Order: sequence, then C-alpha cells, then structure tokens
Amino acid sequence: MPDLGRLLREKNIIFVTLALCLLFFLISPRFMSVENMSAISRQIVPIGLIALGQFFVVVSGNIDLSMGMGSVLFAILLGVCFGLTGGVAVGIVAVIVASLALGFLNGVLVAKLKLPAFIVTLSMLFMAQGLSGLIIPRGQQIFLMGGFFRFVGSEKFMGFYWSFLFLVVLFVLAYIVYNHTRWGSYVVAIGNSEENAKLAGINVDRVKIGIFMFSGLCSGFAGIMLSTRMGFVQPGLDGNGLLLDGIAAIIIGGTLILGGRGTIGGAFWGLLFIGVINNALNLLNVEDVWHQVFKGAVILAALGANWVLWQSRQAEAH
Amino acid sequence: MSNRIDMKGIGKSFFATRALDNVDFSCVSGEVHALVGLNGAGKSTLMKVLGGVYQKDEGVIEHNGKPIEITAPADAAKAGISMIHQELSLINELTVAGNIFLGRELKRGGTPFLDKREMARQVKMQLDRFGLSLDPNKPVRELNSGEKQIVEIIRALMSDSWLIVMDEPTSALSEEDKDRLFEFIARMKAEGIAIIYISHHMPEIFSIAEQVTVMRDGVIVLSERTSDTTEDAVIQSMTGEELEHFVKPHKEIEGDPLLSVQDLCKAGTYDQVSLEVRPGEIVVMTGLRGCGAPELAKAIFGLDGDYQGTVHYKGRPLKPGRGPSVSVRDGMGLVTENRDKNGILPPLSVRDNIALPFLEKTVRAGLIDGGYIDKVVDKAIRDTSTKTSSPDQEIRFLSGGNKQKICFSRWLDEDLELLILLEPTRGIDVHAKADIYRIIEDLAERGVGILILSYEIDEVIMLADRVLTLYQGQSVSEYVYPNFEKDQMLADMAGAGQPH
Repeated sequence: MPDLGRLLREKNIIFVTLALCLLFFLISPRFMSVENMSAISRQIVPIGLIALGQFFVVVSGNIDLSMGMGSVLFAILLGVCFGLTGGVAVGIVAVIVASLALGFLNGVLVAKLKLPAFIVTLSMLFMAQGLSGLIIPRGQQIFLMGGFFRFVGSEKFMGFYWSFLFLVVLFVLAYIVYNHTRWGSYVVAIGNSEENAKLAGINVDRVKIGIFMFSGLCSGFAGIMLSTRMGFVQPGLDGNGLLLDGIAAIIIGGTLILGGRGTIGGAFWGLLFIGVINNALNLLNVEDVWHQVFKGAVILAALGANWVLWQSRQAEAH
Repeated sequence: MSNRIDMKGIGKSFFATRALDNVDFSCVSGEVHALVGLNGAGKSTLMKVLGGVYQKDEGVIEHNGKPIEITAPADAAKAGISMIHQELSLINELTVAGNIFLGRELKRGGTPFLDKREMARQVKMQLDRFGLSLDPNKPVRELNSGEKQIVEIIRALMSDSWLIVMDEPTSALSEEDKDRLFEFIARMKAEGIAIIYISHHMPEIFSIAEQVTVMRDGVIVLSERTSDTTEDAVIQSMTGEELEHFVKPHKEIEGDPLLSVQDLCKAGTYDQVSLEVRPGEIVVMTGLRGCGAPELAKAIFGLDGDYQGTVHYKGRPLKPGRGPSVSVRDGMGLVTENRDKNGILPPLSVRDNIALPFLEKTVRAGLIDGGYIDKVVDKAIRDTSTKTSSPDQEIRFLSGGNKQKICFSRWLDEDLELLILLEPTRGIDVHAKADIYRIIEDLAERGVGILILSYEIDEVIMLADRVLTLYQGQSVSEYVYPNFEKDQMLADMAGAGQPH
C-alpha cells in the first residue's frame, strides 16, 4: 500500500526537486520548456557518471577524489588519440584501459597497503591535473570533430539525447547490481563494518579494488561525455567542480557520507536536483561569480528545510 | 555423523608476550565444551586461531584425525566451524535474511541475481522451527540486541556448521531469551552439533556443558567432565586463589532524597514510574529488556525531555531535556550500557578519556591545567585498579572490564553526587566484576546516590539497598534490603500476575 507519509519522509528529495522546478518556472517560464529540459538532461551526464562511480565508493566507506581531474585527463587522452589517428576507436579503448588502470591503482593502494582513500585519491587528483597540463599546455586546446562526437553529443533518440540514455542505462544496471547481486550487498557490508564483512568470509580487498575500478571507469566515461559535449578538450576544464557536484548529488540523495547506506534512486534524484540548480542559475543569467554562492545557498536552504521537516515528522511519529 | 576437532600443542606469541603455550583442546559433536578464564587468559586467542583470524606459531589442528590448515576465516568455515562473536558481527543496513546469507548468498538459477525470496523463505523456516517471530526482510538496525543475537545464532545454524563457538552469548540477553537460547543449544546438541561455549556464568556452564576447560595465562589449568568437578574448583583454578566473595558492607541510609522522580510517563516506553534515591543509597531498577529503564535513566540525566511527570534533584525541579552538560555541572554522572558506542572515545588515550568530564573544571585562565589532570588520572587509575600499560595507551586496546573501569573512573571526583549506571558489568569477567562492585560501594559510602539498571538478578540482590522491579514500563513493586525475594522479583520482571 502506498503510504503518503512514508513516501514524503523517504522521498523528500523528489518533492524538494519538484518544488525547486516550480519555483524556477515561476521566475522564468522558459525553464520548463522542452528544449531546456533536454538541455538539463545533457548537462547532467558527466556529473551523473561521477556520482554513480562515487556512490559505490562512498557507500563502501571510502572516497575517490581523483574522479574529476581523472575525467579531464581521460578527455585529453581521447583528444590526443583523436589527433593522432583521426578516429575515436583507439581513443575510447585507451580511455577505458587507462581509467580502469587508475581505479586499479587506487584500489590496490587502499585495499592492500591500507592507505587512506582520501590521501591516495587526492594524490591521484594532483597527478592527473599535472599530467593534463603536461600533455596540452595551458591555454591550448584540441578540437574534436566528426560523427562520433556529434552523434553522442547532440543526436537524439525518441526525444532523448543518446548521452542521457547511456547514463540512464548505467543507472538501471547499477540499481540491479546494487540491490540484486552479491557484490552490491558486499559494498554495503564493507561500508557498515569491514571487520564483520571479513568475518562473513567476504574477500574485502577484491571488492574494494572492484569498487575503485568501477569509479575509475565511470570517470573515463565522464571524460568521453565531457569531450563530446564541449567539442574540444583542454587542461583548464573544471574537473574538481565536476567532482564536487557528483559528491553533492549522492549526499543530497541520502547517501551517508560515512558509508554503509544509500540508494541509487536517491542518487539519481540528487543528480536532477544539482542539474536543475546549475541550469536555472545559468538560465537566469546569474553572474558567474555569484553562481557558486547561490548554488551553495540553494542547497543549504533546500536541504535545511528538508531536514527540519523530517525532524519534526520524526518527533510526531514518537 | 560424528565430527571432532583436536587442537594439539598450540603455541602463539605476540612480540614478547606468550599468549598460548602448548594448549590441547578438543571438541566432539553433540557436546557443549565450556571454555573459561579471566580476561587475558588466552581463550579469545585460542578461538581466533581456530577461527583463522590468528595464525598459530606451533601445533596442529586435526579434523576427524586428519591435520587441516586454517589460515583464514574462510578455511574455518569450510571445515564447518562458525564463530558467534561477543561484539555482534552483523551488518546493520542489510536485512535479517541478507545477514544470515552474507558471504554465501543464494542466486536465481544460473544468473548472478540474488534470490531474495528463497533466502527469506529458508530463514523463516528456521525461525519457525525455533518458535521465533522475526521478519526476515527487516533491516537489522531495527532489531534490539536480543533479536540481533538470535540472528547471529540462526546464521551459524544455517551455515552447515557442525561446530559453533559462542563467545559469552548470554551477556546481552534477557532471562527470557536466555532460556530460549538454552533450548536452542539442547536441540543443536541432539542434532550432533558441537558447541564451544565461552562464559563466566558458572550455573550456565554446569547446566549445559559436558566438558569444562579453564585457561590461565595462556595455558590449560583444568579440563574435566562437568560431572566430575565443581563450581568452586573451576573458579579457584581461574584465579589461582580462592575467590573472596564480595560482601555488602553494612550502612545506615538517611537524609532527604537526593533524587525524587514522580509519575514519570513517556508513551510506549514507561508509565507512571516513581522512585527516590537518597545520598549513599544504591537503588537498582530491574526487569526484562524493554522494561523502559534505560530510557527512564536517560530522561533523568537530561538526555531526553519528552516526558510527563516531575524529577526533583537536590530539592529543585529539573528542566526536562536540559542536556548532559548541565547535569554534569550539577554533580550527576552516567555510565552507559554500550561502552564502545556511547562510553569511550576509542582513538583517544586512557588519560584523555578519563579527563573528558573534568576539562571544564580544570581550566585556569582559559587553559587546561595539565598537571591537575595528570593527578586526577593517576588517582582514577589507582582507585579502580585499571590495568593499562600507561595513561597514554589508546583506550580501544584495553579489555572490556578495564574499559568499563575507565568509564567509571571519569566520574570519581569529589563533586559527584548522583551516579547512574546502566548494566555496569555487562560482558565483564568475575574478577573485574568484584572490582566494580567495590567501586560502587565505596562511592555509596562517600554519600553518592547511585541508580543502577541491571538485568542480572544475582547482581541486583548483591548490590542493592532498594530494588524497583519494572515490567513493560510500569513499576511492579519495591523491595528494601534485606527483604529481597528472588523468586518474587523474577515473577515481577516476567509480568507474572499482571492484569494485562
């Protein structure tokens, strides 16, 4: 039986997001146009990929800070391969291999050497940033043209961008993996108590390495999507902004930053929430410098109100 | 079929410490083998060797006469050995069924997908078999500690294990759940399962175990059929000396009530409870788990303001939910039942843990007076005979009994007037228990009023000047020392003769 009270409690983020949409619609009716909605769907793709990879890392009680600058590095790798071969096949294979390798390295350092994930992935962030600037000096860029970039970046299928459909398919697959396979349960178990997971006979190290390889792969995909959307690559791309938006999306969606709890559905709504704010602030011509300030304020206000509401409901329930 | 494990000549050292020395230990299907010893005697180490958590340095482990290697928990599981740990090893965010099948999930046919329905069905079948009503799809975080214990046991039962190691399984159970557990054990024995039962409770050991082994300082000092030995012999071999019995000192209690609780109510938790504590008096609340006493204690300490009724302290009414910082300044102290969660700060040192509530009092010109703290800390460690290598030792490395002593020692300064203790000896060995009883009596003698929640009837009778029995949040009756009637108290706790 659908229980409205419980729905409101657990799906708060849905209502907050819808309320925000209504607000922006009242301010600027153009916000709700089909064009703008599909623009949002395309804008959120790289953030969504970061959020998806980060979701498993965070639920397992870790963090992957290298995802943002990693995706910039992978976008540049794709660009360089494109420049050398004139095609995308080699570049995509190279990105997938490199991103899995980065994730594997992160995972091994965290799982086997027991280094804190924060330190390991922060170091990788700096290295990725440095390497990006090494490959393409600052101020320069590589332009990406051709069928693949146009197709993924701007072609639609039944009214949806291919890139958005790709994201949705990944979310659905992640949902199934998280809720209906052993691996998903193991990620939750490790996030709750690594010790207890070990005692249950779970190969914790292997699961952790897998988690980081998945987040690596997601940042590789994010790099590819970033390059198709922009049409060019350069080391100045805001990888860390992307990372923080991705983390914000899953936390807003109810994932516990300390690990052990979270839902894929919540992460998706958190992603829409971030996407709506980013888009609306652009649409309303908020000046760049104020953009971030407003974004912070909106997140704080929406989640603060949400939290207060939730607490008062909890009090009522008792 | 009949199974047996023989551990022969097991040795294990940690750096310079000899934790196990030439230990022989066996267990056979259909029997309960009790393993006894004080904290640090080596019983946990021995079980960790058997469970694959630690590697033995010397010796062999034989399964049905054939040597086997146990180098990881997975090896132990393969040999049919299951461990139920004292600190529950469940995953709070997974369901009951998810926990029970963790690590050996059922999948739908040849697909990688979990068969949640089948897992829930099998768990339900096991629960039904033992007359338990638990929803297999409920997240474990919503269970109480008795239910969690049940999940742990069911998990062991369902893992095709023939040998189950239980580390003080009753320490978190109510009297009711204990009886249910002993019924399980009897059934398991009948089905040819072997049980290694680690416990400090002599009556439990002598009622369920066939064999009892006592360890002391890493060696076996006694191993006998329970029918061939006595409780006194076992206790004596544990300590190596006659255990002096704790005797309650005689005292006069007079004066106005320090704490006076009038008709305290909280819907669904406690109802119309009144009680008084006078200076120097030890009042013990007892009942079954779920009797509402911990919540009541938290309301008195100012942690929860959501109640009706009044609480007077030192003659003045207390503001509901005023917060623990106000209570501490007023001379109240609270030691919680869950040391690891609410009681200690694991990464900090023994010194910092003791000093925590004193910090505000020792500030001189805005700075903490370190010398004063050192004095307080040294005195506290001495007074409680806490065993720690130094005050700078991180508290998480201490044994359960010593952690509890630290929780106590925090409150031993002169300003203390009322101390609230929740399950003060949960999971603590007999030796440390006597120390803790002594500390409580010393405090009472100094004039501190003491309010205790205990679920162990013998402890209640040993400590109390006055006993309040509770059943489902309602006070049943009050007993004044020395007129304690154990049978009547147990009946009160179990709700016997209640109108509803």
